[in-house]
Amino acid sequence: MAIEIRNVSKSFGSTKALDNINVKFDEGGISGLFGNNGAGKTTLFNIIANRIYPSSGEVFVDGESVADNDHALGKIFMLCDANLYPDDMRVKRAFKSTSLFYKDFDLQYALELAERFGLKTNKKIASLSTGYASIFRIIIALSVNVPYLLLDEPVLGLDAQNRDLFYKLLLEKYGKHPCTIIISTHLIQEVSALIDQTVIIRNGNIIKNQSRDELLSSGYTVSGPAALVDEYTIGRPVISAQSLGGLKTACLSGKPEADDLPEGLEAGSFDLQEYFIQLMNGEGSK
Amino acid sequence: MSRINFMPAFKYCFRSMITGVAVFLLIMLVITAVVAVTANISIRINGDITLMFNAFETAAAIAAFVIGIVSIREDMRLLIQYGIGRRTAFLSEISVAIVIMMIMSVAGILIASLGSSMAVDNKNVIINTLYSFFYPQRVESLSPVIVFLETLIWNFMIYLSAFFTGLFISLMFYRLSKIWKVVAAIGLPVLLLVILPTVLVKNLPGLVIYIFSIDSFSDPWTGIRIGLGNSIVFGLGSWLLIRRAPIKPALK
Repeated sequence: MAIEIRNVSKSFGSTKALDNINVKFDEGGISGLFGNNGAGKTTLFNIIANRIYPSSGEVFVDGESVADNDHALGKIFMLCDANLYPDDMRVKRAFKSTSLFYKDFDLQYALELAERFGLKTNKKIASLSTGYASIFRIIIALSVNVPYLLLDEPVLGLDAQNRDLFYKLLLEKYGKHPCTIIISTHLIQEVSALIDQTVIIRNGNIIKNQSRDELLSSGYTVSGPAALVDEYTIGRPVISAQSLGGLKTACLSGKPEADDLPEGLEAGSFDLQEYFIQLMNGEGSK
Repeated sequence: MSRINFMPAFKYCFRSMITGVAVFLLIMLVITAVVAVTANISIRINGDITLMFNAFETAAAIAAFVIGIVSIREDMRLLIQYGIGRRTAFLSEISVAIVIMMIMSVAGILIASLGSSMAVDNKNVIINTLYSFFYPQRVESLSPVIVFLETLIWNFMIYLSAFFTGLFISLMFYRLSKIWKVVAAIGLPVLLLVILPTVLVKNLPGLVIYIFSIDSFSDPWTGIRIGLGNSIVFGLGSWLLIRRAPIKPALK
């Protein structure tokens, strides 16, 4: 039971958005899909949800190909910032339409959430502000109980209070109705505590696919005066390094040896967002 | 293995289409009633008038064409959002169209009958179906049941043909790039109205003469066959356009 992406490539004209992607999202758990703008995250989601076809390769949900397959597609709900609802559709009618397609859609819960978020259900979806449009989509995603939930930039335009509420509700939902959730977001710091698996995509290639804990324990940071850091990193596997004034921070693979650390340097553990930035800087400089 | 989730898609498409059609039917009913009442008043004032009225079929064909253009994109987007594949979305769309066009065909006959019954008993005031105006000999020579059924099928094929034409044009413009949209917008009318007639007249004059001949117009089944052929061609063309179409969001 999983979403399996096998040898998927996608080109838009001369631009290669995805390049022979192979990744598996196992049943259960919350995964984070991270990448810079244009890395191919949304393209990957769109291919999983069969909104676009890959140039080559295939996507399987529980062993069934998703290509024009209602049974497989019915197990997935994709939230994205693109509005696929009719221009004149109102929020309440959208909730009712959702219940037509998903038998487990909790209409009562959706209406409760709309009240909690302050979303007026008599408003047209097309007239909602960016934040409320995100809230509308979040409510549907939280109320529809499918085995696989794809959340593409779920908190786009949301204020800090509503983002916090969303993360709490997501964990609450996961506790009540365990499912596979894949979140794609640029706010890595905010979802860091939520996720189990980390998939990092760059220029259409998956460059990391590890559990969050494994990834964070796979390296460490060393910071201090630039000269000392440079001296320390000689012969050690440096992922990336950043200088600010006379100070420098280097990300290294492996584990620091306590006795080995010279005085004046400080060792720290990876923080997911920091790791991502360092990784991108490192990859970018290659 | 591929299983389809037809019923929810059908229900949704039906609900989204029927509201507009109901409003259209109501407007046509009101127009026909107004014409009948006006004819009655005119006869009382002027003594005698001559009136032959029919508006439904032409208006319904235009409505069917517009439904074909506007419904598919919106329905398709929502169905894909809710995990329905393109094949089911297309099947549900054309199934609903078939039901809706049948409803419109029946409604057209009923509205014409109602208008006719509301008009005073005057042989110069005729409110009837387009079929009755086109094929008066058949109306007189055939049994009312056959006339009813032929009218129903004739109307239905006109509407279905108009629907599929609209559907095809909508999907063609959906798939084309900007430059090709301009080319198609100019090229298609030129092809259909200038090049095709010229080629047909030059190479198949017999067919053109037949289509526009008395023989053709004397038999409603010619029109029905043309409508069916048109529906099949544009229906298949629409499927080819939609089967791997990327889903584009609505413009906000």
